[in-house]
Amino acid sequence: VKLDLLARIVVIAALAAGISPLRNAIKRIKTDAANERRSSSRAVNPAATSAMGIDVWGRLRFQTLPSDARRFVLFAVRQSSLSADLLLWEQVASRLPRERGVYLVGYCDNSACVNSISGADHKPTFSVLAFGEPAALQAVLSADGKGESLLATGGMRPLRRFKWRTPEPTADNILNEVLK
Amino acid sequence: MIERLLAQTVRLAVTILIGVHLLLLARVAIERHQLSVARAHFDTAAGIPFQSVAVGGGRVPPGTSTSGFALRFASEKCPYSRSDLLWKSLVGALRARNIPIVILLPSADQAFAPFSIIPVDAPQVAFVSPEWASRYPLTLTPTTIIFDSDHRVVWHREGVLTMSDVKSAERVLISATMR
Repeated sequence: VKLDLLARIVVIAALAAGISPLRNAIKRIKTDAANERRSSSRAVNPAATSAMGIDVWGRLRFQTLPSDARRFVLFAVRQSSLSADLLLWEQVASRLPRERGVYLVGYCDNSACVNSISGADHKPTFSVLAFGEPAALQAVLSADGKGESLLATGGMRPLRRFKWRTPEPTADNILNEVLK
Repeated sequence: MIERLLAQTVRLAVTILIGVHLLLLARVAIERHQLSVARAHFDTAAGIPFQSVAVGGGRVPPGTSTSGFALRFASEKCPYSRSDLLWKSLVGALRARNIPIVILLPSADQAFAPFSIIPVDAPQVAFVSPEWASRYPLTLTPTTIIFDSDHRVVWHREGVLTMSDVKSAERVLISATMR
């Protein structure tokens, strides 16, 4: 009986000793979760203040802004709608008066898009980037999630967004927005 | 009589302590779930290799594609990035395990001057693929992320590091598959 009692007391001691680490673990996890919530609540909407990047042919683009630039249009090019996206922006590029100094900059959304464009016979007449700066990418991707593109001044000061992924997008509508 | 009373008390104590343990374990499970919910804005599924280009257009040295690595999203222009003293401690822990460190800049014009970067030999990356960027909401500097060899986020912190952050990162480094 005494041995049994002793064994039970050992169990009690072990259980009692286990309480403190568990309480510490709970405290630590709660702190981590609170830090996490605080961090995510501070997340800001990034702005594209540069169009610098590496294009689908591996060239560094827009390291310095062109002196004749008056507008930049940044938009995502999706692999899932690659042909339609390229066709539309080609139409926009072909109708843009050169003296207006508008630069179109597409961002490929994945490596399949990069391979499709770099491997095609026909090169787009506007820049398509395979790699971009994180801040600009977050801004472009965030806008594209809403079907929008970003419009900036020739000095890359953000101007506004406009929706171009509409059920029936037209080059004319985009031109109106860009030249507004 | 006394022995029986003692035995009953001990039995009761064991029962109560087991109950307390069960409650605490349930609480740990609930808190862990809350933490995973709070971290859900970071994609922790197995990811894609980190494809990047350094400031100036050069390729980043290999290492990040074959093993786990630590990514520090920071900027010379950000006072919090510059004053994050505990980053140096975490660098020490990473270096002790030969884990590559890459500095990712929000934009190329926010590069650190030579010798002001920690660690001094870390490559500074300015360009990433949209595919990779879309998985990680990098908007705050400094943000520190540790990827395992499957390109999975095993640890991350947004903001200046605390001592408990460094300790938790070290705990993760012990259990994560980095090679």
